[in-house]
Amino acid sequence: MTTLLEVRNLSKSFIWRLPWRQRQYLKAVDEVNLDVVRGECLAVVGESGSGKTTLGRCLLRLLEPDTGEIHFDGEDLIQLTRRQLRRRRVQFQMVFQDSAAALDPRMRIAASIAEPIRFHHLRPAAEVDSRVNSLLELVGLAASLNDRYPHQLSGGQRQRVGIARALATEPKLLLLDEPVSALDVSVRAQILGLLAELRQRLALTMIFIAHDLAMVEQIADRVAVMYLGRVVEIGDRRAIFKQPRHPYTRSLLRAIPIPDPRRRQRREVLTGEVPSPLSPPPGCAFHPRCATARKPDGSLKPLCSEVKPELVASDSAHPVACHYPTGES
Amino acid sequence: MTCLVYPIETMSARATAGDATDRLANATDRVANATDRVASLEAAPLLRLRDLSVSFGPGQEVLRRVNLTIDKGEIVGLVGESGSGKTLTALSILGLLPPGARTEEGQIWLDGTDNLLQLDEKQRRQIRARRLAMIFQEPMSALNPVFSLGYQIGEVLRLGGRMDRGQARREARRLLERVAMPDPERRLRSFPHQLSGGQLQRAMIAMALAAGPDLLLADEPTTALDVTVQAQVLELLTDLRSQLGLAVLLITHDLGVVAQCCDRVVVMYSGQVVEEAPVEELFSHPSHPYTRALLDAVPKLDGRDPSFLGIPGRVPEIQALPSGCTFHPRCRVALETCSRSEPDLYSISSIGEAVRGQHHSCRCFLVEDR
Ligand SMILES: Nc1ncnc2c1ncn2[C@@H]1O[C@H](COP(=O)(O)OP(=O)(O)OP(=O)(O)O)[C@@H](O)[C@H]1O
Ligand SMILES: Nc1ncnc2c1ncn2[C@@H]1O[C@H](COP(=O)(O)OP(=O)(O)O)[C@@H](O)[C@H]1O
Ligand code: SF4
Ligand code: SF4
Ligand SMILES: [Mg+2]
Ligand SMILES: [Mg+2]
Repeated sequence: MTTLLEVRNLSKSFIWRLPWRQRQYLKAVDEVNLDVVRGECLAVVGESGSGKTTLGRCLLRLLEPDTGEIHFDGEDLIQLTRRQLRRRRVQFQMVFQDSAAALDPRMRIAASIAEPIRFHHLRPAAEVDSRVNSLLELVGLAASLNDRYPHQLSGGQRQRVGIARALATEPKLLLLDEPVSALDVSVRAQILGLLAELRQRLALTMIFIAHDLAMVEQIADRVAVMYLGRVVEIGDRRAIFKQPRHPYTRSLLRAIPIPDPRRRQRREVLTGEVPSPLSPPPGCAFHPRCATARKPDGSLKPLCSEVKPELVASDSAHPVACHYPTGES
Repeated sequence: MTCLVYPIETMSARATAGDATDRLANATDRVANATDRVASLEAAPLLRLRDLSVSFGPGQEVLRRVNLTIDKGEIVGLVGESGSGKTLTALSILGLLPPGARTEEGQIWLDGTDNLLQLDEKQRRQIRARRLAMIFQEPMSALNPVFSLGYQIGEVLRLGGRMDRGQARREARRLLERVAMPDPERRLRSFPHQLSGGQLQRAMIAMALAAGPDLLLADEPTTALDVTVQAQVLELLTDLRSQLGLAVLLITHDLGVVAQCCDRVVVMYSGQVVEEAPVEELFSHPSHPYTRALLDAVPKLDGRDPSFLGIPGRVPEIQALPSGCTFHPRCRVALETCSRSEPDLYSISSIGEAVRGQHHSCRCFLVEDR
């Protein structure tokens, strides 16, 4: 088992210029460390605004990170020039949530899929069509759809086209940003099944971004949970679902509606929403919503409100960024 | 427990479906009287849709003989994949069908009114304003970006008459508190773009409640929200039901949401009701192959190894509905007869269950195998 992608201390801020205020810095990704093992599927999960998309775009250098290192297949991506990066890009591809926006509406499906093949000169011109057909087949689309336009396809079919286009360059790493969030449950299961199958057949490594843990339970080997730009817990799927250690992960799990009317209880609903990343709370960013941060008398534990917890593993359990994680006395 | 099987719709006009149907027909005769007795025992529901059909022109029927009832204070889940006709059902109740859509037949009664479909536009507008309310997946579509929340909610209140500006403002504040809006006083002065997704959803519910409706039609109100915020909004809806006796038609494709907050469930497929049951019954005895497939597609969160049980194919286009049972091309247990004749909506509850209002019905030739 070797590491395909190694991310060290990656940070990315956006500058907000509001007319009536000074510039503000919005730290969308804050000191993230990650390893992605060859052939695995790592899920990145968190509520809206937690920085998942920004992290994903930085990993592929579609956005320039402020600081940090990204080693892909042993090579530091940050050091590459634009030209070197373009040649490297065939090896990592992205699939977007909104496939309608990601495909050119005036381009037929076949042309969309052929575009990266031609752009990177991956096949002689005479072979492009047959390559497109085999890609369509690979993602389970009838070859007869190749002269349709994106708006003539269903959401699930469009998402398959997005996947075919990403696979056209035979990448090692596929980064999927909420690929099934906009789909119906049943179509969602179809696409997840397709991704699982492709992973096996093509020995792909995957990073799968989602805002809902329920979405990744079937596909992820490991799960990283993000909150306000930081990874707060990372571990094997089973451990995250069965022994979550971070209070936020536990809340996310509890919020998922259980499809069983006999197990209907008033679950402790997490109050409030993700605070504005323009002014993140001091200490642990989760403390205003965290029940564990409160002493029995209702006051805050000082560690929680003052000290930012680091992501650390214990001898017996997976890494978590919390001063009072579960599974430790 | 003995299960009696009888069709709810008339079957005579349809082609027979061989053995299965014959057996069903016999069962019908046996329980015909019982059915009448059951019917007379029931109190009138708050809303009743009867045989509602809507089309966009010849051969483009989007709703086909939909029957649906909602009792006072009841939360009814309407589920099905996208394109199965859920939104159009809600819009029919409101009388706000999109241009080009026509009601071909059917009746809609709201407690104490005549058939809504026979009222003129002015009367329907009154019913919409006073007794019905709808909330959507996209809250911005219901809110006006250039007015403050206080103003917008106040306007709805003043439409009902009898309230001056000061009263309307106090009432608006009370409504924001009722929907657990954080910092309600300040929110009265906020504009929609200043609110988060969850707050917008709360604001829209507050506005929907302003006129004191009997029935709230909620079209995928939590689909665009984070799970944690979804849990908050669902809790709000169930609270409103128990505190105000509000009835809710909750449209969703998330069966987890249904299990957690609905009393009864109606499953739709390609413009028809294919199964209907109290929520516990539906989850313990899902009878239609489509319902079972939908349930299989729900993640179980039990940490077991993955299985991908999607439903192959997708909801058919209305212009090209399959013959017979419209689900047959995707059905794992389809019989030969399924592509030739169309199943009725058969009741599969025992008389005892039916008397207690526990109707379970299913549009499939295989129901008796339960
Ligand atoms: N181009 C940009 N300029 C300024 N701020 C941005 C920009 N892109 C993202 N942000 C901010 O960075 C934070 C993280 O955004 P990001 O899109 O990465 O979140 P996400 O986890 O992908 O959320 P979602 O689930 O909604 O897709 C947010 O607060 C967002 O407003
Ligand atoms: N304005 C419209 N014009 C034409 N067809 C429509 C329109 N609105 C809905 N339909 C069709 O009606 C069927 C049911 O749609 P809808 O009620 O929106 O489904 P759901 O809400 O279950 O996703 C679909 O086949 C859809 O394509
Ligand atoms: S560090 Fe404190 S506030 Fe943060 S998650 Fe842990 S217990 Fe809660
Ligand atoms: S009637 Fe036939 S095709 Fe339709 S759901 Fe039942 S078994 Fe399947
Ligand atoms: Mg995103
Ligand atoms: Mg809809």
